[in-house]
Amino acid sequence: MHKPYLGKKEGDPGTTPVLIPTQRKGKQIVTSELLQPYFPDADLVKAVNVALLINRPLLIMGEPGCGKSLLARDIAFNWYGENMLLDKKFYEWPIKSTSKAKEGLYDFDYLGRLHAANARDAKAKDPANFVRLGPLAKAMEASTEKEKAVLLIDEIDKADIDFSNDLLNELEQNTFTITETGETRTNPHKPFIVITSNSEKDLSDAFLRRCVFHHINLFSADKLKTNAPKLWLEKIIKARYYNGQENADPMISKAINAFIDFRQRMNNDVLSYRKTVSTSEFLDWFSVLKQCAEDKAVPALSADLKRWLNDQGTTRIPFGNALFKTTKSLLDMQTV
Amino acid sequence: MAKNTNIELPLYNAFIQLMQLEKDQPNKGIDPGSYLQLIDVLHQGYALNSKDELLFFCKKLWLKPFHTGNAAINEQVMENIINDNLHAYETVTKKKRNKATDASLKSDGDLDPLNNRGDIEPKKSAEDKPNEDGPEKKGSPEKQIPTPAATTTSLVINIEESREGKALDQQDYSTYFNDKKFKFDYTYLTVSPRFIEQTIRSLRYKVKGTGKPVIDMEATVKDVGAKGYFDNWQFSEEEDFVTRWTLLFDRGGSMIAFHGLQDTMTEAVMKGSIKNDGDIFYFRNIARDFLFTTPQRTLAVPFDEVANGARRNILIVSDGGAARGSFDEDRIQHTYLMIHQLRKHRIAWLNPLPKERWKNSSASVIAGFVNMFQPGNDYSDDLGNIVRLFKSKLITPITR
Repeated sequence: MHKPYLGKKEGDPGTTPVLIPTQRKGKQIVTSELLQPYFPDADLVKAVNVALLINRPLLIMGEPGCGKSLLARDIAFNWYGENMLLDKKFYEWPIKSTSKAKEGLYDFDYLGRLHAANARDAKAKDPANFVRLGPLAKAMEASTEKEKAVLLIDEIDKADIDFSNDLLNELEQNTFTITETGETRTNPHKPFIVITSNSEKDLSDAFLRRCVFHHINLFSADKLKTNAPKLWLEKIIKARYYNGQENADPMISKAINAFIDFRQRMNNDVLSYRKTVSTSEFLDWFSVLKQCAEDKAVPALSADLKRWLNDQGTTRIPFGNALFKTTKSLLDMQTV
Repeated sequence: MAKNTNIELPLYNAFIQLMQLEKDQPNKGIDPGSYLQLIDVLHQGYALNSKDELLFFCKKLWLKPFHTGNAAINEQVMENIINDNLHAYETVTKKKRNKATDASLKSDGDLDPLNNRGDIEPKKSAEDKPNEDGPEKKGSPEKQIPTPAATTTSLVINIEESREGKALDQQDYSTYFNDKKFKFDYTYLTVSPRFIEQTIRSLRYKVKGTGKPVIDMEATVKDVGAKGYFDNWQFSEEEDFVTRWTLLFDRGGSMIAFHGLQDTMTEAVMKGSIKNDGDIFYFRNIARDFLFTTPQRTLAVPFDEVANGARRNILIVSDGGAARGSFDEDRIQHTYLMIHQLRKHRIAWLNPLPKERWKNSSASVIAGFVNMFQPGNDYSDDLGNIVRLFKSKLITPITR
């Protein structure tokens, strides 16, 4: 039985930013990626485990910037720790408008084979030498009964409308055929697949039937009436910018209150504002505030911040450009 | 062992009710396979620790993105139906707990196997096997627990009866409307934008030279063979898909109800990466001298230009007078003339009204000389038939 996804408790690894090595030479890390802390809510943790239980991909939807893509990384980190990339337990397949389902499985290097043939390289005789596996195939092959690889199929709605249908068999059977060599590769153990979508295109019923669906809705009108979003944002800020330590910085509550206020106002008129402020924009904005507070930015910017911090709500919020992405919101949301 | 013929499957009623609710919807997410999955999971002992846990599991299994905002079946409806059925489950569970000391089934337990599966072994005690002597056991008091009302909706039309306080919903009044011309069933147009787009895309042709230049390996190898050395790649222009639709939309008065359908079709043709090699024209009831290129009929092209132009697949979208439910000789004659002038093209007619509404109207006569289809829904093949007609090699002549 595969171990479950447990989310995070205080003090767990990953509650502060972690460097994930991507390349190591002996004990020395050559290259690495920064993994930001991620705090899933209880429902999301349960949804992951439901998908794991019935061995189906997890389809995550939600507004842009709500943390859909980070989830897959966090699951891999939860299971395999900081070696998730070196141990080849996490794969990512970012989908583009031109992506084809086959690219996830394999690509055949025709040019390489021609070049090898031209150079009279013996490799050219065997077409298997020129098969380059895609992320879906790699994740399939890296999965065992107790250690599933995690695959993130990011923004599936960017692809052509037929894309999801083209993946049905591979997702269901966990098998595919390389037509150039005639080889069929199969693995009885499926990877754990997280699929994200921004709902720009509909997905087929047949595809949806094969997925467990979860919608991340952190800032709905109902949730904003409670204290939960504030506490959650506070937890993220402290994890990201204060190394997980308790901190009574007044800027934290001021920024969170401002964000919640903006969000509530936008929720009342989503159509006019078009793009509501989301977690990722809030974190970008807070990062600017933090840098200015620490005098890392130019003095003029820091002065803006000081004016706003000492004010009771009449001063324009500083650096709104990092927070608001439409003209209407930038003009309307000058003050809290 | 004696055969138990009274086995009732857990949450079967909820599943059937949800299936019925979804029956007339364009998208389907609840199918027997998912129910078997639920049984399988329950059999393993999961999702049995608390009512909330089971409810959550069912929602994850059955709730799909297209249920969001759906009036007939959405998260709340699903929750209510499952909850109503779980009520029976809970009663049985409590009774069993009174009888037996085994506390493995908790109605509000603190164990959460979805979060802590690794620590908990699946429960497989006899009581936990819902399909053997499960919660909805026949003859038990739970059978009397009212289930939500039937999923079919009926219209309240008899005001007098309503005033008298009679239970109107106990009678199916919809039968009174069957032969009425004014019956207009909104749920008939269940064809989803995705289905329209897919149908239109399936009518695509590979046209050489429409794609980007790509390396032609065969030509390159031949070139190397001929010269004895490699100096440059040989390129060929890739084939690309092109859709060839000409849509003729009737924007007459009776078609106002279908402007949404027309707009969806227009969007399906225009958007996406598939190249659109077609045109959209508008007319009102009958196309005579001009075809308009804007829905507001502000710009036009001569009808002859289209009729005598290169061969096209033409889809006419009009009710053909079916909405009015009467014969209009003038309309029939002019429509015949229009179809006759367009005879060199392949023509299909999409009538947004159901076939039974064509009877005793101009549409029934028009359907006699042109291939007329109803839109159907995602699971009927009516739009597919149009594609098949266009893809057939034969030119569709006027059939009379």
